[in-house]
Amino acid sequence: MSNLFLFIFIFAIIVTGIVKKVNCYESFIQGVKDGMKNVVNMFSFVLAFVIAINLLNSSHLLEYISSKLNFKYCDLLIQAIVRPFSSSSSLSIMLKNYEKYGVDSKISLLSTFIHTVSDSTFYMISFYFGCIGIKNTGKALVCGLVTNIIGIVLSFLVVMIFF
Amino acid sequence: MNYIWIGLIIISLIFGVLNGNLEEMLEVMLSAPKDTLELLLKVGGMIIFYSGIFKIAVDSGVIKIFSKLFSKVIKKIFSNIPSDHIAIDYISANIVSNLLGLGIASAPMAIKAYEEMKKINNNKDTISSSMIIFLVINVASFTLFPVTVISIREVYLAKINIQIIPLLIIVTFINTLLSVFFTKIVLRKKNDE
Repeated sequence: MSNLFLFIFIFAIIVTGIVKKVNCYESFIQGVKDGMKNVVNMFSFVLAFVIAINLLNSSHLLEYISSKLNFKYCDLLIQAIVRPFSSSSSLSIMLKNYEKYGVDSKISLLSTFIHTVSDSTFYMISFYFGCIGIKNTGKALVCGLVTNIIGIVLSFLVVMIFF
Repeated sequence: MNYIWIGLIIISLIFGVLNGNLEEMLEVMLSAPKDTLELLLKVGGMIIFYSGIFKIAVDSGVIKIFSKLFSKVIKKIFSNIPSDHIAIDYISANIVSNLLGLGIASAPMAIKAYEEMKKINNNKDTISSSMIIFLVINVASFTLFPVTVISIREVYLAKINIQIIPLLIIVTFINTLLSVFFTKIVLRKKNDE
């Protein structure tokens, strides 16, 4: 379904460009140039981010914590902690939960919600503000993290009520 | 950001050394530039492509249509941005494409929106309150089509799948509302001081 949307989206944009007599070719080239600049700007910030996440993953710290904490929802706790840092780590915990508890279990549903209802704050801050060159990110981190926490709390409430 | 980054690295390094997987950590540290390049080739390539498509939309005025859809709400939320400023158009376009679940296609619009917000900000190095609000909206990821998880759950042959879509929509919507509300309060306090 999303592929269809994407197709319609791109098609509609180009058709409107033709109707409005825009030089689509020139516009596209100009946009790509801007995009290239942005992506090159991002590199250093994303690299710093990837190093930190790689190290965290390879230190097996989180696995250690979850093996020590032996209660029902400890996998979800770890996922909730990881979610603001890294989408891919959260996704892999979600898939592990699917296999461990079954895809329709309460834990897997919670895991799905935790993964979906918020995005990784740290990644977004380093990615976007690195890209446009903002050094002092002020309260962005706190506000982003609160969003993550609200999302997780809401997930718990909804899954507990409806399933 | 600085302390968090240092903290992550130091904790991981100390724990890794205590755990004795020094070699693995060295390996992943050295492979980080390669991983980053691969990530940027994948994600960045798409961003570059959609930047081109998006520029056509900007030049043809399509994004004006998007911004008319939600202009009232968005102008209320982003009260610091002049109401006919182009940043409003970019923000609307980003929110609409997030609603449709277009994923990475919405990133160039977000970048453009941040660039415009930076232009109207007095202090070029420092974040403005409208940027924080926009970030929070993006983190809360309000969407009508949570395509990624639904397709993953389909692969796992989930019985409860389509039913969770309305719940996800409601939760992401409430999350967006509450977070914007909270952020507004936090930012207002800062301005009072």
